[in-house]
Amino acid sequence: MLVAMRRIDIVAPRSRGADVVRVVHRLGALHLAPFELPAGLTPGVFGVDPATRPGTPFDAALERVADLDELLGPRTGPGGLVDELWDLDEGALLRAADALEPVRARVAALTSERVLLGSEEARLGSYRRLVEGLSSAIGHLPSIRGYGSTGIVVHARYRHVIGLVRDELEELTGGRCEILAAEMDADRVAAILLYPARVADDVRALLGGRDLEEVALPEEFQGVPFDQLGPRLGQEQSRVHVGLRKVEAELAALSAAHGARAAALRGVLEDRVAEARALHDSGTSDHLVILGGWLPAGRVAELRAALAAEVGPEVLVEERPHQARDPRTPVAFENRPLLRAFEPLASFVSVPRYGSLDPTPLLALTFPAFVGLMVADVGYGLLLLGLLAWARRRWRGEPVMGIIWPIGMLSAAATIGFGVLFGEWFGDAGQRFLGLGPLWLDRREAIVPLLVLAISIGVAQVGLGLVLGMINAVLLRHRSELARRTALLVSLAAALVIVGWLARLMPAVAGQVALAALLVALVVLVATAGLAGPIEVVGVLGNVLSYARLMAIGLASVMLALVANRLGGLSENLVLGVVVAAVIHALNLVLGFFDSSVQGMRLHYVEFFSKFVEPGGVRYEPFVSTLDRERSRFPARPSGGP
Amino acid sequence: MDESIRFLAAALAVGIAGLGTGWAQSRIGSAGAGAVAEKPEVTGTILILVALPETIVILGFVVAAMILFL
Repeated sequence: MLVAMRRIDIVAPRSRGADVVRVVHRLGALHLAPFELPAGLTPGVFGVDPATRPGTPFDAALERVADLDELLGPRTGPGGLVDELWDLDEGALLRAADALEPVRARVAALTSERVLLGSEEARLGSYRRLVEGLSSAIGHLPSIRGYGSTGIVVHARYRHVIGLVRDELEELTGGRCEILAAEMDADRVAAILLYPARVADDVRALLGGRDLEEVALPEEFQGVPFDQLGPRLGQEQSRVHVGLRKVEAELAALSAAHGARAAALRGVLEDRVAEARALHDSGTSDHLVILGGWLPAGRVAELRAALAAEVGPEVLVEERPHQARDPRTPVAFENRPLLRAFEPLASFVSVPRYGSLDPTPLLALTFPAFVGLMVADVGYGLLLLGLLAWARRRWRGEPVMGIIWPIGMLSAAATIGFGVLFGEWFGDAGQRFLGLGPLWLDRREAIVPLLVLAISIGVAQVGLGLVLGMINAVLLRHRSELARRTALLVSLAAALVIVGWLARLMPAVAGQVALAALLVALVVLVATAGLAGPIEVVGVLGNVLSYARLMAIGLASVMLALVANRLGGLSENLVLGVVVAAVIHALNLVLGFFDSSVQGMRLHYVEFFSKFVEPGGVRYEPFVSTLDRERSRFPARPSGGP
Repeated sequence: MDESIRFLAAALAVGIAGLGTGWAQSRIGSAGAGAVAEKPEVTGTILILVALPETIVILGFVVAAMILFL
């Protein structure tokens, strides 16, 4: 269900404005609303105070602490440090930020050094690989005074470029040059160019336009005989590597010592900056400040109590008359724990409007059932359960697992349930080896009954959607929508009766009544939705037929499972047969659950929700502090109850 | 002969509908990928738009089933 919200205005003496914002922030329940000028007052008297700039004394400190936090990289959360810092006054917070300044300077220096050493290590490594690639060819060459060298690496496909470079280099140096080339690996060819040092710039220009990967020999190795280059480069690389490890160890030690404090301080400073902005956006007169917003009805008393206790009796909390259909009211969901995982799916495309029905419980009921009906295999369901159990243990505490686990578990249970009904255990393997036949239908044979079942589900769900749409129209007092949806529901029912009449399953009188009802419904649709109204009837019938995918995708899934078993059975080698079958079953498992999930979602969003969900809602985003975020790794939830 | 024409008709019903769906999805998908790159918040809407033409092939499948089994 959607949480009942209340619009409130908090009125306080201007001198207590910051305290009010702080209490509201700590409570983390108020969805802030832009200030609206009370009727009869001019902006000059009571408006957003231009003198209160959004800039705060914390901005510079936050920038420095955030920089340090980024430099120290990801680590475990700041834990209880946030509680310790949150209540500090402005001066103490700024001193805490200043205390981290030497750490920031040291971390910045170490980070730069790490970048330099890392690139140096990579450069030496690439040159070493180049020299090693050419070692057989250049080992005998002595050092030549006054000569420079450049290493290049070319993709094996473009090895002919080396010949072109040789021609141009000979022309440039009058033949006083040498190019030695060798295969580095399957994809790359390395080459060293030797040339008089005075033409080094010309050589660089020559190579520059050819998009060649140039490996410049470090300056300290100029003139070193090639047979000694490899070992010398190796020694230098080891030295750089040791230096790099040392820098990384010092950075890790600094992160362990100061990382948590930097993260906590950053969060607290961000809170202070957010509070300053909230105060700036509130309504301010010479004597008063007004902070407005929405919060769950069940938390109004909690807010009043907190303000009275921490600010004093001079603060008033004014509750505006409840407006159930105000489109600006933010929307918060409140469902049982098992259903909560479906809330993000229910509002994935659009948030339902405040005052309308919450589609979450219906989605939680039918989405896993649709996935189960399409995959319907006990073996696949058990495998999915196993994978989910492994993932839950592997990513324990990750918020996304709080969504995936319940949805996956229900889908797996439905898959196992329908698998038992259809007698499918890795396709027909259960039937062949264990004699586990279908309890209800054999999907390989019962194509027409399954098609009828799928379309019947479509009739039921689209019909239910239209009924819920009528209820929503009543709740939101949309008369024309109520008439339109009623006419569509009558059209759907009439179309079904007419089909039954044409198939001689219903008496002629029923068909004639249905025909008359359809005509009346079409007139109502033209009156409420114009000429597009009758076309909507065709759309609704298309929506119903669209549920045939429940059967079609299920049929594809069972057929692929049969193919896996048949191909596996063709092999005379038992192990090979099992491997072939396992690979195709694995493919079917992934395809089956992915495709059925996408199709299940689509059926809900396009065919079902479009009949009753009123889009355009505003998501409830309370003014939450770092305190709340640290206390719970899951997003802060509103509470409808006290 | 009649039987083979029936199978051919069913195959055409699904096959041509599948081609139509694929063509439509390719156009929507490429435009949608561009839209999502610029505005990631429209991902949900684009996902629905990409999935919309699938109804064509499902209707083709229903027609094929009717040709074969009714």
